[in-house]
Amino acid sequence: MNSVIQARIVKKDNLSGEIFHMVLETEIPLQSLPGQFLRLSLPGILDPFIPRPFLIFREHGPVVEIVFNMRGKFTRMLSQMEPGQPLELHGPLGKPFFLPDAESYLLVGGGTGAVFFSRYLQDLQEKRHLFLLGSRNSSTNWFSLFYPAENVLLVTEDASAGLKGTILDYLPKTVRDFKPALILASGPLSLLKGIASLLEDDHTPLWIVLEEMMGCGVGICLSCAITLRGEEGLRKACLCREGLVWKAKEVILPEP
Amino acid sequence: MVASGTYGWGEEAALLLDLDQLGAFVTKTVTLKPRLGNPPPRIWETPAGLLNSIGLQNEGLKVFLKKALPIFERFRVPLIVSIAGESVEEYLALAEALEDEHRVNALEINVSCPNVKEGMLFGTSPRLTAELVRNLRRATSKTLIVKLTPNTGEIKEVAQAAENEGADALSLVNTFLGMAIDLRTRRSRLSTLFGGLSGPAIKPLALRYVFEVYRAVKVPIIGMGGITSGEDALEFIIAGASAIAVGSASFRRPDAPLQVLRELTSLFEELGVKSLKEIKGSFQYE
Ligand SMILES: Cc1cc2nc3c(=O)[nH]c(=O)nc-3n(C[C@H](O)[C@H](O)[C@H](O)COP(=O)(O)OP(=O)(O)OC[C@H]3O[C@@H](n4cnc5c(N)ncnc54)[C@H](O)[C@@H]3O)c2cc1C
Ligand SMILES: Cc1cc2nc3c(=O)[nH]c(=O)nc-3n(C[C@H](O)[C@H](O)[C@H](O)COP(=O)(O)O)c2cc1C
Ligand code: FES
Repeated sequence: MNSVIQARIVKKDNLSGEIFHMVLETEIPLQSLPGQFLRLSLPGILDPFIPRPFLIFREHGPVVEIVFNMRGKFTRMLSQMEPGQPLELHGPLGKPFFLPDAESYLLVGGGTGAVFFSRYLQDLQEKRHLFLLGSRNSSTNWFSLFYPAENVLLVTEDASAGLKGTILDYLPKTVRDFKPALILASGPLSLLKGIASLLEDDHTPLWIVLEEMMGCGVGICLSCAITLRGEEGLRKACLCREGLVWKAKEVILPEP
Repeated sequence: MVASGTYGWGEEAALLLDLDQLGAFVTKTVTLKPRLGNPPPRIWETPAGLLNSIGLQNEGLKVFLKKALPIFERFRVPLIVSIAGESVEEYLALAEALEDEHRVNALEINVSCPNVKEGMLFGTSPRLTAELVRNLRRATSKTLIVKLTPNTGEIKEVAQAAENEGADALSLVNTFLGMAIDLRTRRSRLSTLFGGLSGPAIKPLALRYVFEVYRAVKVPIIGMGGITSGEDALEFIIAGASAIAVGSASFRRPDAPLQVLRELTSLFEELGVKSLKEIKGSFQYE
């Protein structure tokens, strides 16, 4: 994590709408653990300047996969790149996260936030689990390609796939019916805030995967500081070093 | 060197870099009391640059002395502690507390901080800078470096004021005040109105300031602003810098300071330059 690794694009697919799946081959294996992330930049190019963070969708040997949403300057450029082109990769970053032991799991994912769960598919096989996944429309819904349909409750805002509505519309009923022993949520801040407030009086342990603007990914720029409730009052922590996963009760979520 | 605020206080740095390969380690600015800093978003990228409004987040002097300082016992690298206060008294209290710390080689005075009584930044005014440096010079026997802000029309006068009052060196530049607007909300991209711009976008501006200040003072200059390569570093040296610091480039890759050093060394070889002295300030302009 103190230097960058040279990588090459092996494959790029437009999954649907503005969602892309990219396979990279790295010069040396990244050797990430579940819960960690990486940053990508264009070698020798100073604009975009700051590498962009992405979750690690899958990793095997020198091959790393990401799923990304085209949002702005960097991800647009990335979406136009072709196999063979070089990228610089920084990682693995962040604290590894292993699923806390529980009887059953509810995994709530909004948009590309759902990428986070892919590293746990194997662990989940032996446990009762349900994915509650949501996106705006079927063109932003890529989950069905990777997550086993029998365990997925899919919602889209325009009813183009799965049930009509938002994750928040279905969350209370899902929690009541499925009775998970642990909930893990990953997605936009507004979704996480919504989930935390809906489940305020629920006693199921809620864990959330947070994202924040990141300058360095290694704890030296302090751009990703989040506020924690500590024993001695409020405390700042670097999301990039101590995250990405938190107990919902220990963080004060920023305004979206 | 690393630039203040771009490599923490030592704990993370010790994991990421062989600190002893650096010319000096400069800490992120330390204040007397802990500061939580600004809410997110704290950074926004602009073309080849970075706006930040971290808000001097730090755990305060006490925690710095207890937690960060001991890390440097394991290293030989010269340690420069960056300090800031809201009044002359706060700066003095920091300097006095650091005076007997044998591991601290120098103080870098971050004057990009508002003087609460006068309602303006110390570093924008030659008078306020002079008063601050005069007091600090009496309070410390450590090497005294004043870090200049470019956000003033009088940078040469501020530099001369610092030199006249006994500063041993100057470092420049700090970030340029800038802003970015979210078109949809018509609000700032940061949680604050303005942020400090750094990175390659400011390099030509920083270089000009280094050159101008070099012509106006005799004390050595630590040059910085957008340096990402050995070639960038050499430009600053030719303009008059005796040392250079790498800031935002470390956010692209943590080993950037050492990479710049390696590139600079091979550039010296390539150009047949034997020492920094020989090429420092050799800009041809007459
Ligand atoms: C830990 C982490 C993991 C992520 N994983 C994924 C993922 O697996 N798939 C995916 O599609 N997206 C992921 N993101 C978001 C992704 O990093 C941003 O979409 C990307 O940086 C946008 O860059 P851009 O130049 O295209 O857009 P820009 O035009 O620069 O910005 C568009 C939006 O992207 C976000 N963003 C921009 N720069 C950064 C930055 N340096 N750090 C964090 N967010 C930023 C901001 O919310 C901004 O409003 C992740 C973010 C973080 C912090
Ligand atoms: C995120 C960030 C935090 C910074 N914090 C400090 C600080 O605490 N004290 C200080 O004197 N300068 C601070 N700076 C300014 C840098 O030390 C440096 O002067 C400036 O960024 C220009 O160099 P660069 O373009 O190489 O980054 C900070 C810069 C950045 C980008
Ligand atoms: S991204 Fe720089 S401290 Fe976390």
